[in-house]
Amino acid sequence: MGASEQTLGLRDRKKIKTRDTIRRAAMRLIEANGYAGTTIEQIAEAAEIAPSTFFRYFPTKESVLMANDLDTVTVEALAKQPADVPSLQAFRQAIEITFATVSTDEWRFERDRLRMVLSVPELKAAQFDAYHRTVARLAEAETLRTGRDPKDFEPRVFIGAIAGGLMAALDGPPVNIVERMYRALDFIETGMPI
Amino acid sequence: MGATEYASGLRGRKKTRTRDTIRRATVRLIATNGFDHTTVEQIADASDIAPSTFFRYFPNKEAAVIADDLEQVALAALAAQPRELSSLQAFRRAMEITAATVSTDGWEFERMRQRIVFSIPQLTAAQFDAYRRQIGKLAEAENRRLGRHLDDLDARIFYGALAGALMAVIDGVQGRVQTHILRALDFIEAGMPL
Repeated sequence: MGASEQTLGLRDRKKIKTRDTIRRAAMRLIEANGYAGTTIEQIAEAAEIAPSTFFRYFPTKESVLMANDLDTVTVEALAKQPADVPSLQAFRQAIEITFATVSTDEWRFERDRLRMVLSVPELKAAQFDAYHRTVARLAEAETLRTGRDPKDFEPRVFIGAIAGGLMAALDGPPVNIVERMYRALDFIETGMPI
Repeated sequence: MGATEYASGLRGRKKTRTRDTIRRATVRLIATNGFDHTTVEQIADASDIAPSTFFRYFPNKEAAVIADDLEQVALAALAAQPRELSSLQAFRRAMEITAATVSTDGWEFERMRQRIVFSIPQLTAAQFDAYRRQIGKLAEAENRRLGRHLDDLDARIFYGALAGALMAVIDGVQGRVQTHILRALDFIEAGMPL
C-alpha cells in the first residue's frame, strides 16, 4: 500500500487498488453484519468484482482480515539496516521507517482491522498465530542482517521481548500510540530499569 | 496443578483434588474426542461427579482448560519478594517458587493442556486473553511490591517483554522448557547483548 506506488506500473497499481477495495468492503460488511453473517459473494459484490476475482487476491474470508501490510514494511526495513548497527537501534529505525511510510489513512485502517480481529473469536486465534509468525519473521531478518545462524537463540528472545513489550504498551485504548511505542523501546534499550 | 494444595484443611484439599480431577478429565477428553464432541456430562461422568458439581468449579469446559492454577502462587510469591530485589530477580525467584510446587505429573498435564489450547481456535483465543490478563496482574503485583502507582506503564512493558521473550523461546521447543526459560532470563538480565 501507499509506500512505493510511484515506482509501480499501471497494472500493479490497479492490483493494489483492487486489493484495498476488497479489504475495505470486507471490513464495512463485517462491521455491519458480523463475521459469520458476511459472505465472500457479498464482499465481491460490494467491491464490484466477480467472486472468482476475490479468490485471486485472498484464499479465504479470514485472510482478508488477517492480511497485515505493516508488518511486512517493518520486516523489510529491519532487513535493510547495516549489519554493524546494534539490534535495538536497527529495530527502532525499522519502526521509524514504518511510521514514515504508512499514511494516516492506513494507520486508521490497521487500527480498525485489529479491533475487529480481536472481537471475533476465530480471528483472535488467527491473530495469535499471526503474531508468532511476525516475531519469527523479524527474528529471521535480524539474524540474516547480523550474519548469525537463523536458529540462534538470542535474536529470538530479543525480538520476542520487544514484540511483547510493545504489545503490552499498546494494550488498552488507542491513544498516544506512537509515544507509548517509543517509550517502550527506550525502556527496553536501557535494560528495563523499574 | 497441585499448586493450590496449600488450601487449608481437609475440605480445602478435597476441593483442590476435585478441581484437579475435573481439569484432567476435561483435557483428556478434549484431546481424545475434540472440543466440540466433549460435553460437560462426559467430563462429570469421567470425574465421578454430578454435572451440577462441575458448574460449582467452572462456568464451562473452556474455563476448565484455560484456568491457570499457578497464577495465584506466582502472584503471591512475587508480592513476597523484598523491595530491594530488581524486577528481574524478583520474577526469577517467584518463578522458582512456583515451579517447585508443580509435580512431574503436573508438567505433563501442562504440556497436554498447551497442545490442545493451541490446536483449537476457540481455546487459543481464550488463552490469548488469559495471557494479557496475566501480564496486567503481574505488572500490578510488581508495582505494589515497589510501592508504585498500580497503573505504572514500566512494569507492564517489563512483563510484556518477559512474556514475549519467553513465548518466543518456548514456541516449538524440544526438551526441558525450564532450561530455555532460565537461559532467556540470563540474556535479558545481561541487557540482551547481541
